[in-house]
Amino acid sequence: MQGFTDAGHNERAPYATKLTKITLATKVTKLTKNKHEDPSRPSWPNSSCASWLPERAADEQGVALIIALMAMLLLTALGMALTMTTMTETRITGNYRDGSEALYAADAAVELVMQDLLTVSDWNSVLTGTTQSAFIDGPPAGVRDTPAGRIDLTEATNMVRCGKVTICGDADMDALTEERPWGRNNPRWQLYAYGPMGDMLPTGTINSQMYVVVWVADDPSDNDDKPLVDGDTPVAPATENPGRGVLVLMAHAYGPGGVKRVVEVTVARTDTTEIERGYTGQRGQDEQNRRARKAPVQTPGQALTRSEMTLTNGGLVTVTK
Amino acid sequence: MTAHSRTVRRRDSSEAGFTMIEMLIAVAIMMTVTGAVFALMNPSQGIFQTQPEVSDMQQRLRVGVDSMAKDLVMAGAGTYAGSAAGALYNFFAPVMPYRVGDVDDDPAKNVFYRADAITILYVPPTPSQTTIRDAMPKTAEQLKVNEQSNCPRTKTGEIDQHDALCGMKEGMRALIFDNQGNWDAITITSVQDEALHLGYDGELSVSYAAGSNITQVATHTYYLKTDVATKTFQLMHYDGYHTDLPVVDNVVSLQFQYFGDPLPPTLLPNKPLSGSGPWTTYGPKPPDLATTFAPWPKGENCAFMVDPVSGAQVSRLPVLGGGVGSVPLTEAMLKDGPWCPNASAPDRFDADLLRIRRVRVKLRVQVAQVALRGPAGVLFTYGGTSTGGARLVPDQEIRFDITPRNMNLGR
Repeated sequence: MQGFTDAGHNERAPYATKLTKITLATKVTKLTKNKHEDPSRPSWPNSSCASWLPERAADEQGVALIIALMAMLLLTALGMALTMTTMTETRITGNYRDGSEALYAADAAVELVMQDLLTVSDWNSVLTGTTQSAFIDGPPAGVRDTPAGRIDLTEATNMVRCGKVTICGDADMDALTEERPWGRNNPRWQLYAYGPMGDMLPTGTINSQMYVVVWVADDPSDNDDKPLVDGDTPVAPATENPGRGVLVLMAHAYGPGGVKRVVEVTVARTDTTEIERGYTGQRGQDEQNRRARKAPVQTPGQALTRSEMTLTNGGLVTVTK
Repeated sequence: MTAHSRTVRRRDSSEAGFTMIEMLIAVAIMMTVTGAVFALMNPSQGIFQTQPEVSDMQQRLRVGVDSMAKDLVMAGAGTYAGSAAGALYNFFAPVMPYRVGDVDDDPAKNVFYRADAITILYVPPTPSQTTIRDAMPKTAEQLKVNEQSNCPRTKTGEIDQHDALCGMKEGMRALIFDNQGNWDAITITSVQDEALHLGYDGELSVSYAAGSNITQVATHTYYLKTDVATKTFQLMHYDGYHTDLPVVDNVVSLQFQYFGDPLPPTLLPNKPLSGSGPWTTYGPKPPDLATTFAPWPKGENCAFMVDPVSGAQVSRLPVLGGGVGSVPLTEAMLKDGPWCPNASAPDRFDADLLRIRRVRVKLRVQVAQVALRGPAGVLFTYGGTSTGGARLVPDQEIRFDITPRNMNLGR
């Protein structure tokens, strides 16, 4: 056990010094020099110890430093790689979730507006912006600060009208482009419904950060050259206006992280049916009216019946037809 | 001095080396510690190896679901301008459980059902929706179209007019269809003056009358490609013309199931057959009672027949499942007829395909590395060489339902 005394260290020191000096000579010199220049460091009380201890201590500190740095570098690289992988996967999943949610939000907004339009007797008032949906969160312009980010309704409307954020003139909106190739019949989108998705139901049961905007415009097959009038007299040589009673809706849903989904729908008034289900295509005000006064339905295998109040005793009697 | 020498000798003897027992103990301790470290590291390494593969599988599932869902949700979207406005299922079946196209066409081989294939048609947002100007024979190589008001406008100098080609361009996929259940998907190979030159294999299924509809269309076929010999398991996409492309690798199972309207099609009230559509709840409209769509009797087609008692046009299809809810459409139902537009037409389809309202998709993927797959069984469709629990990545399967919104407009 005596080999582990200070005296033992004293005797074995030269071997260690020789081994380390080969590779760390420069570093040792610097460390030693720096230490002597630092007046704040305590001086060694024993001069014989001071002659070798600082040098050994410096050697070992250097090795430890390098090993520690390398280990830290390795661990940091591993940690960063792991973090990056995890963050990327999380972000992908989050974006995917937000994208899906935005698509459903846009779809829901379209459904809401279709129901709203059923109650509007004059669609021209929608095209001019006079009539708006009940689902709005303020004037049809300006900035909204939402969980989905900052949304400028004015700029968004200009973008869909003419592809730029500044005010669109008639020439801008009538310009022939690949996306808007109908000239004077190009859709002039009017803000109709807009607000946070969570406000769509008054019960507050929708937990969503989406912000939805729906624009309405006259459909481009309308050949009256009046984008703010639905189905006016067609421009010659056309004699019929196929766009009468037809509107186009465009819903944007905005979400966190720049997520956006768009749904575009063409709707038309129809004068169709007394049946409740299964008819194809467009919905219109007439459908709602007919739903309200739908024909009686006979229970299979039974006769049609109705209940009437009798004046004799005030009760209800069933009358078979 | 003597004491000092004794000390030195003692020290010398202690520094002379370790005994064999000390060495063995030291080695044993070292081996135990090293073994413990490796025992800890080994599963970690396995997890490090498997987790990226698990992420990769989920990514592949996501790509597969996204690709099919975006097309399925649009299935059946029809023209929205002009006389034929309405969903495609008013004219023909926009969802077919087999491969349809110029290359390797299933109906040409008399195959009308494959559990692992689906073809979807829909009209994308496009101004190119119009009618053909002249009658088209079955071997027509070019056609001209009418300038409907929804067609794009062009401006040459001061002259502002509708595009004579209605925006049709080279390379565009186009759909020609009529009111009798006939349809053909073609590719526009070139454009010359006012004429569109067409590309398709063989010939058109029928001769189309002037006024038949033509529109830009999207055709998508998804199917499973399985080749055990070359270890190829891919979700494939076919564009209906000449191009097959893989979408996702290592897809070991793909299945489609169909659910439909239990009620047969009916004629809409107050909608004369000579007027503008839609005329039916779904399915192609029948001719008026004095007209014949050969080979059907007067007033009949694949979806409607004339009731011998009342003389009215009623559905040819039965009520399914008590007439409520959405009923599963089995393979037998989807390939037993009646056939539209008729049983001998090259583009025929089972009239029950018009009922489809919901599609269920099952997609299963496996890990790419054989070393991470265990023996074939419940967890692994195709076996691998993995032996360790930390290096097992079972197949992952996803099942989702899509209700195409344009095939559920009245529901």
